[in-house]
Amino acid sequence: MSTPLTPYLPLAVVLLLSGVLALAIPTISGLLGPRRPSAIKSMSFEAGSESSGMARQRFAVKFYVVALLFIVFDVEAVFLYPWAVNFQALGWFGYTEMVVFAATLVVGLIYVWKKGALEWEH
Amino acid sequence: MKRVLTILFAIGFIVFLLAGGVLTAYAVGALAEEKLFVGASRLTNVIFLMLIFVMIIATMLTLAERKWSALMQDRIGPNRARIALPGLKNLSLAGLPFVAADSLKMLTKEDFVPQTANRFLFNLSPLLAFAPVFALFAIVPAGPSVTLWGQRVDMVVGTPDFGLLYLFAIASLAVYGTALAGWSSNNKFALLGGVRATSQMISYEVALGLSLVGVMLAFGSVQLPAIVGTLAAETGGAAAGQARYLWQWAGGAAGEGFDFGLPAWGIILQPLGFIGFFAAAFAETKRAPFDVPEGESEIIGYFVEYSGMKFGLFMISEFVEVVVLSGVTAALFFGGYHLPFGGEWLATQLKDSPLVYATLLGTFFWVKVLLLCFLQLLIRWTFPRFRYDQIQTLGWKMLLPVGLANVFISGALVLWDPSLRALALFGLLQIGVLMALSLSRKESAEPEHGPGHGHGALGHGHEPHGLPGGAHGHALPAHGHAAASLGGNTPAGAHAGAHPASTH
Repeated sequence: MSTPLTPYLPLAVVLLLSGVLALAIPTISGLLGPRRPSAIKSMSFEAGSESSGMARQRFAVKFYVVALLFIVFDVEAVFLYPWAVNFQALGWFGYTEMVVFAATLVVGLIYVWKKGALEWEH
Repeated sequence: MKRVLTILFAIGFIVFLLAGGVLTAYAVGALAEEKLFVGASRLTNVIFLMLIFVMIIATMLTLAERKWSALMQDRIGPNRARIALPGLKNLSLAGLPFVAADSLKMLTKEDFVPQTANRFLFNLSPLLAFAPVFALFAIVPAGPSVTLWGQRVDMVVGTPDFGLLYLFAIASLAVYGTALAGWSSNNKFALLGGVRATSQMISYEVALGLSLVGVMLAFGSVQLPAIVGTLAAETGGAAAGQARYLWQWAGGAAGEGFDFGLPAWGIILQPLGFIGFFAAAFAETKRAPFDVPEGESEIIGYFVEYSGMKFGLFMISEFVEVVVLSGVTAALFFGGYHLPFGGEWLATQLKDSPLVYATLLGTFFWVKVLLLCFLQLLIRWTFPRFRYDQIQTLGWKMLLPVGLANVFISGALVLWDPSLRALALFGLLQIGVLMALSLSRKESAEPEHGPGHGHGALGHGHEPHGLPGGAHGHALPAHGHAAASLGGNTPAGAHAGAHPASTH
């Protein structure tokens, strides 16, 4: 409780511990388990039929759109946090500013919605 | 009758174990503070809270999930693993030996890497899936701060200034585990599963972040200890956070008589925030009804190439997530370790025995966590799987706009009335409307509507869309094709098909 860093030291320990634990569990499993590789076993499992070609093919562009939208709206949420903590001090002025900020993004959401970027049925 | 007694005995035994664990954690924490250095109790808390409580509850959940699904589907469930000791040989012990048997099995399985996979990333991704999830519980306060034998002991691991942001930052790292697992396996099904999982996780991350802004507004903080709050009897000042009352009907401020009132819990102030957070976090755990990324019984998911304990890490991280989600929900929306009422009275009564006080409240926190875990099992085995477009629609078209509206309506109400009473009235109104909607559905549900729209109907019950859909609270699995309500704007239609009956 003495130094300013005291609250953070246990967090560092936790992050280290979780890494060590996550590394140790599969390592123990690798040491305990048998190791009998065979050609068939190391084929990729695709529902029993023989796999053809590389798996790293192109996939639907919708997933990229979702990723782009995620960045926009997650950054918006991040901007909301500091306001949420200070908003009693900022008062109605800060509130109005935040409404204006969010409204611009809502316009973006409506645009995306109307453009059909959120439709998954076709 | 015998069954009821058995269940009561089991519940009592579990509460007894929790109380014992909390007691030991406090005692060891105080001892460490005294013998080692100031702040050493935080490090013993790492062991007790994260390695013992969270990990054991998560391990037990693997069994509880199978037993509970068996009960709901009228099966017996796992009962064949036995301990080969005289006297125990013929007892199924409620399936408890399965916990040991399963982990031993996974530890001793062959751990192989497909030839075409990217070895480094393939080995890295289970780590990336497990480590962040495990580290999440560090900021959740699991008991009051008390002075034991002259030493201040907090039942929390870390209290960083950034509080909840730690949760968002670390939790979002888990998406790398799933994305890389799908990509590095070099398997078409795994890649598709990984893409589905990634897309779902990042979609719901937005809703997850937005739904907690209302809580931050109401309590003016991102730090969990401040949101959980302190009693007047603990600090000597006024009660704060969720420990205070919105309306107090009995008892004085500093423990004169039994105090009773409506506590300022997050669930009362932010019911929509709670539903949004719970739904979004549930989607992040990738459990049914959001289990499209895994779909372990038919569409295979991103970890199809994994064997042994690497698969085990993916699986256990799911259960750790369940426990962490319960802990965070309890701390943010259900008053943390505080009693709903009578807290001041209890704190005054037990002023001279802080260990008993801390043990009682710590146990109460873990009971809340177990109840929320149970709620998640209930949801997992009640609702059929959403289709992928329904998942995305729920995230982007429902939770995001509702979350945004909730933030600004809550903000206006808090600014208008900083005592939070206006917000509480609005919250109670929301709860009333949601309950009325879900109850009225039960009576008017038409046969072609499938049951199991609880998330949809709950999540935006008062939206103008006027949701079709079945009643909330049916305990039946889906029966057949619930095709009635698959329109573009309604995520509520149940996916056709029987409920997946598999377990891990």
